[in-house]
Amino acid sequence: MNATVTMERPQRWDAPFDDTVSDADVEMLLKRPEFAVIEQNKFPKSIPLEGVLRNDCRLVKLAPGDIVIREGDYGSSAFLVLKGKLRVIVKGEIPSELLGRTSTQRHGWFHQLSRLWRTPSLPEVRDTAVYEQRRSSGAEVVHDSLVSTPEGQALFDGQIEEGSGVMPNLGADFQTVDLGGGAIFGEIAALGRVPRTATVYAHSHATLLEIRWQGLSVLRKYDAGWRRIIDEGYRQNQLKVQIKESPLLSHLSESVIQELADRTLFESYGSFEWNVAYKSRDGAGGDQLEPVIAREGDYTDGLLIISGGFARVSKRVGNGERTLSYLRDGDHFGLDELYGAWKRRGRAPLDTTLTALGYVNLLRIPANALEELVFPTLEPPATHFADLLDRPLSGDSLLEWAVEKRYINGTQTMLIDLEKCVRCDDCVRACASTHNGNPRFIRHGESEGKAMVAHACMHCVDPVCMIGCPTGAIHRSPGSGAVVINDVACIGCGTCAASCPYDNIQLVEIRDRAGRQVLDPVSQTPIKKATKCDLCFDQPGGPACERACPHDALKRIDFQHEQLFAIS
Amino acid sequence: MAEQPTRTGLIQRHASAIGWGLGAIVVLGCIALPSRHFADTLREPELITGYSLFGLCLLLAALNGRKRLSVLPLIKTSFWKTMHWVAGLVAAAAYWLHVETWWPTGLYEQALAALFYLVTLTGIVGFTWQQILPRRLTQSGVEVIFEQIPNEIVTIREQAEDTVLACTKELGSDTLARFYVETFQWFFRRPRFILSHARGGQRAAFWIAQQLATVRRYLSEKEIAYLEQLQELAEAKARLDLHYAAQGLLKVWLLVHVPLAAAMLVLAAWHMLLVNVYSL
Amino acid sequence: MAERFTPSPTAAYQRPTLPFRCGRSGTWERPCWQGPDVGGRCGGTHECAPVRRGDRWECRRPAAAGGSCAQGPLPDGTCPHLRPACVPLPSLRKLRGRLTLLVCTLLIALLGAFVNFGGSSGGALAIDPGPLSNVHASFTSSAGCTSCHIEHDLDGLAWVASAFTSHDQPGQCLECHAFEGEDRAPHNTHYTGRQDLPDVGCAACHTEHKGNDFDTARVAQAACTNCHRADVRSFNESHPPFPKHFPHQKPGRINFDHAKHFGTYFDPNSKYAKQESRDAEFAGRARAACTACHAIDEAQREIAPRSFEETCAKCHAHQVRQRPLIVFVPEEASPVTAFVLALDEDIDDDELEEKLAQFLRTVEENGVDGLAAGVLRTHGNARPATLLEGLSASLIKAAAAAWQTEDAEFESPETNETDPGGWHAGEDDEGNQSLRYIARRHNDPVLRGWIAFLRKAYSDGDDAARERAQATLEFLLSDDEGAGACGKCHRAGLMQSRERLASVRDWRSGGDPIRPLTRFVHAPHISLLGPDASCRACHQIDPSADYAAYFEDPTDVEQYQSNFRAIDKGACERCHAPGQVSMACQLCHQYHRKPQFNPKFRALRQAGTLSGDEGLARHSGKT
Repeated sequence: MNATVTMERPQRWDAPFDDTVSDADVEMLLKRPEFAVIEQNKFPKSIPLEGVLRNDCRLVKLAPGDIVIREGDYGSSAFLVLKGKLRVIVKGEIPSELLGRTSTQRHGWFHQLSRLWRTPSLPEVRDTAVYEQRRSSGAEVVHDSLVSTPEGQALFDGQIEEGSGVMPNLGADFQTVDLGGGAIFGEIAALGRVPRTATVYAHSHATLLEIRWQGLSVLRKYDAGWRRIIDEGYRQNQLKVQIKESPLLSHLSESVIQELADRTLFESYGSFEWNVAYKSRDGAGGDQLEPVIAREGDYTDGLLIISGGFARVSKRVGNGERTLSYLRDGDHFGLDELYGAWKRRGRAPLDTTLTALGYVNLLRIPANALEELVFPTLEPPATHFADLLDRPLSGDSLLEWAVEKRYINGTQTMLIDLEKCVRCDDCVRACASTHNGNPRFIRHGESEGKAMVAHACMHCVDPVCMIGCPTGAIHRSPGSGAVVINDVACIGCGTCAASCPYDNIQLVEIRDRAGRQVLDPVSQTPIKKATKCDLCFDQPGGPACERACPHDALKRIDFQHEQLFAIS
Repeated sequence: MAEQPTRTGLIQRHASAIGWGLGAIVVLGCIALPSRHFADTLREPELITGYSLFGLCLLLAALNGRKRLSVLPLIKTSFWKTMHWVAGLVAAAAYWLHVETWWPTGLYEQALAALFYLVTLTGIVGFTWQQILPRRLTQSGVEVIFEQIPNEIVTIREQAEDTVLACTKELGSDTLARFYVETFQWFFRRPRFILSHARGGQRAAFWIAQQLATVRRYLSEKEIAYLEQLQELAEAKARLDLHYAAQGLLKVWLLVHVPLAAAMLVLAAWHMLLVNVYSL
Repeated sequence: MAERFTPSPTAAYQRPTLPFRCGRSGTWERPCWQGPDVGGRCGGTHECAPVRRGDRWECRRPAAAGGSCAQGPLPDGTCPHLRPACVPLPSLRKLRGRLTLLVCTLLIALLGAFVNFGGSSGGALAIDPGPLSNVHASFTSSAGCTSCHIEHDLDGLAWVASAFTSHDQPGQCLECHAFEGEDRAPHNTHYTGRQDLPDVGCAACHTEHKGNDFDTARVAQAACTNCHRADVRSFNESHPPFPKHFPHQKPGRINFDHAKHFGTYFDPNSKYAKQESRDAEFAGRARAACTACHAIDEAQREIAPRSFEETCAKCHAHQVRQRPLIVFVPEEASPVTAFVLALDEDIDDDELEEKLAQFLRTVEENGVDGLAAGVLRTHGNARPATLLEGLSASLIKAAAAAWQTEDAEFESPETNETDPGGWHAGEDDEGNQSLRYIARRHNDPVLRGWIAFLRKAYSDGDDAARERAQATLEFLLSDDEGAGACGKCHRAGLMQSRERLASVRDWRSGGDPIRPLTRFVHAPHISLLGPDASCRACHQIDPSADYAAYFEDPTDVEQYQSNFRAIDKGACERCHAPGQVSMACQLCHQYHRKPQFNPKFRALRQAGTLSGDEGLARHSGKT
């Protein structure tokens, strides 16, 4: 127990994004206009621009037809086009088998079975030899090519000419936009922690600078120019995509959509890093934490479409606000009132209040634009928020609680039915057996009635834990979308654990294979690693906890699909 | 938008129970009918019922194995658990088909019968506790992990002692302190009224209320404020005791059921050997 | 729920897989944050392990346990927060594992301790499946389990290996038990045309080790309906009908026409009523009640009639003395003579005369011995002492001498009027000369002897001898001429079973038990229904039956028509019906044919021991 061993404490750039960025490359980049205008003295000494370029970027060379990013994938990098031309597919869908989505390699059955005898008896044992090698972090992204199969080639109008270095156009079903030198793309997914909004492929031979989001956020933070580019681009691309994908508006023609987009306003409420304020107030409500977007009784001047984050729809009941529902990406607010007002040629006040939970990005489509372009061809809305008032008050207590605690963020919230749970800890044992004897959640948490949300990573729609990770150790697994921590890359800084609003990440002190505690030689403090539920992403069969509960008390709930009533 | 799930028909809602019931009947039929056929043809029906019973017992024991194999995506443990108690009932029926008497002759066979009865009984008791006790735990209003209870009790005890000491120090009267030493010190020492909590009784709350009522008449207004703090701590301790009792039952019954089941399997294997040596 | 105190949110992972917990939790002190090591030893007495940085020692208590303490380590680097070492307690899971191991080990040890092999007395506790029935326990006490279980004598691996071989358990039972017929066949009978029937083991119906008072012979009803399932489920519903002519399919051995006797001979108004020899009082009684002739006191399946003297003699006694057995007629080949002298049927007169003369000469010379010798020559098994009992030598010599003369007349000496029986030579009532014997009484030994002698000669001789014997028997047993009137009643019984030695049984009433698996006891039926009235409840005279037809040729059994109507199932069903008297199969049927014991068993019993070695030696070769 008292035996210890030392190991150099890992640092931020111990594992650079790519080993191949050379000094010459950094010089070349610094000469480019995008970087030349940056005032390098604005950057802190610990994270110089040069360091960002060397350690948080890599150069990517593409052949014609190579896919850079796929729509729907999670990604953690943005791209700057250095040379060549790329195309963004804005309309049309490429079949997923041609896109070649990555999938996570899952361990085989024998490997799993061998855990029974390979599991160490001490907690948090690591193979420290691996750490010494300092391998790079994150999953490796392989660039597939669209034209590697005959089916892929058939998507294009005509054959690729040998030696021309340029792809033919895609078929008539598709619409594309070109990206040339200096263009930046992919920042929405990188910074917004949302899936890629479009597929991008190389139209000609191209060279890109891939900037992982740790570097991008540094650039955005310390340079105004980059901040403007990123924020504006974010707004522009999000806006149009959002309108196109809204079921209300997708039936409209391209020109109408364009006109709508031109008249639509983009608004943000609340703080992007809402978790900080949330944690400090210990879960209590308040206006600062939940800014009001639209108030019941007021007249509204536009349809609100949520484009990021969560918003609460509530109505005054007695002395409090009763939560009717919560809205997420793609949902709209105010349609009933606006449509009714247009029909009756009058004005109608809002039935309900809309508040931002943490932060919300939304689009406001002005009422006159709606009346001109949308309402004439719109089917009258069938459901109304007010209908939800018919539910008894007691039936909503779970919803209220879940919204207040922000559990609605979760796609894999661990919900335990306390009236079925016999406290046998089989779930914890199962989690431990799949993680080398170390459980990755705590069978304890807030409860409301018979529902308890345990301290297990919820794999949020908006994983705020990823904000601030210096190495990218905490990332989304490209194949499964689960938020996982790469143990080798983690430097134990504790940012993610501090960020998580639900305290679902635990820092643990590690031991080596001989059972000795691993200490930092300088400070003699134990080396820690961040750990959390990884949804058993690399194991066959998915989360072991749910499988292991003998009483069906434990469920992983996806609040995006409103499985709240799974236990009520 | 959150919506209530739609109501389904009677059969759909109970589809699982109906399925298990049918399955149990089918399995029992697969034992009873061939054994009846054996009896009809002057062969030994005990062969069928006996081996089936042993097979069922092995299947029942396999639940233990399944629980250790959560690393593999085998069928959900909840399925296995339901299969376990349904198979237990089928095994009880198969036992009756096999033995056909309440109490056999011969010491080792009596021991086997006794073990079977005990295992079945403890299983039923455990199953019942698993239905009843979680509700009681949830209704206590707090949730605590069993292994943390000693820690929590120490914390409460320290807080109680601090409260009493503060009262004595600030008000100069040791009435509360003396009373504490006579009564609540015992109470805060370790979990108390465990049997009452296990049965769902109210003895703890009653005792606390009685003690407090007893001493209240000797305390001043300011002391009563401290008494009320003590009351809150005592009530919190009572909730912890409830968890200790109920969670303890939920864990300890297996310390009876599993060893007895293992012993039963050993003796059943011995029985199988004997029957094959001496009469088959 | 707002409370002043809530359980603290758990700050670190709980590890239920660790086998030990801090011993302080067992005494309700605060458990230490380190916990025991995996070997089960205390995790440490110090709160932390201080670390030196530069010239200062720093506390290294983790945040989950409270973080660095306020005091910090002592100047010499030791942690000031001490606690006594604990004795780590096993977790509940570990405790469960230990308990399981303990219980199983204890059980195996107990089994090992109480297992005893090798034929010792009393059941070993770990093996004994229950007490033996008293009947078996008493004689197996010395040999113990090996009396019936030869495997018990094996030891070690051989004993275990015997679990995988099958045993001939019926063979063990048959060491002592035996049956008439085939031991292992169903009903101990080999049914021709039913090769498909498998052997039936004893354990199919019988069981043991069910307690001292258990009746091993008792078998559940279900055992019968297992095989006879298709035929019989309950008596009134599906028991097959009784056979045609049941229970009189086979003719009796004595020609007694019940119908004629009840209808005519016992009738006080018939022509027979006035005969002197007829006992009118007895006839009246007999007519009224079957019990006049049949002794119901010993009523089993058969209710035998009383003896001749008690019944038939009341009217027929005189007939026995009426017809003599004519042994020799001078100058004639009388049947008996022809047989004794082995005369051919178509012998010519000269030869006959010569043979007769020769015979007479021998007899004159040797007297009875001569006659005896002649008899013996025909068949070595004859018993002249019986056949010629009472024959005086002087009489036979005188008669032989007289018959050699021309007129062949012999004057018989004075006969005793009161006792006309015995040997006579000379002129009979019809004026013919003969050597004859008159029976003194029923069951006369001389007549019986002659008939038996002839029957034996018939069964043992060659074709020619058989023919002669048959002819002679026919003569002796003829209805109207037979000596002693034996044949009048006994002809059928004696002529039926030609192939067998003459046995006493053939003279007696009744027939062979043709239903070895069925039993019927009259006594309870008679006691229920009352004597006299109860007979006619089932046995009813059939006036239309031609009873006498069969007795013309007793070999043709098919011709037999009983005086009585067949008893059908309905007669029984009046009482043996659901809700009334038992319908159990075993009430009227039995499975085994004549259960008995092996001679070997009796010998062993007498010796006082039943050794298991013998059984082992006998079966060691079997698998």
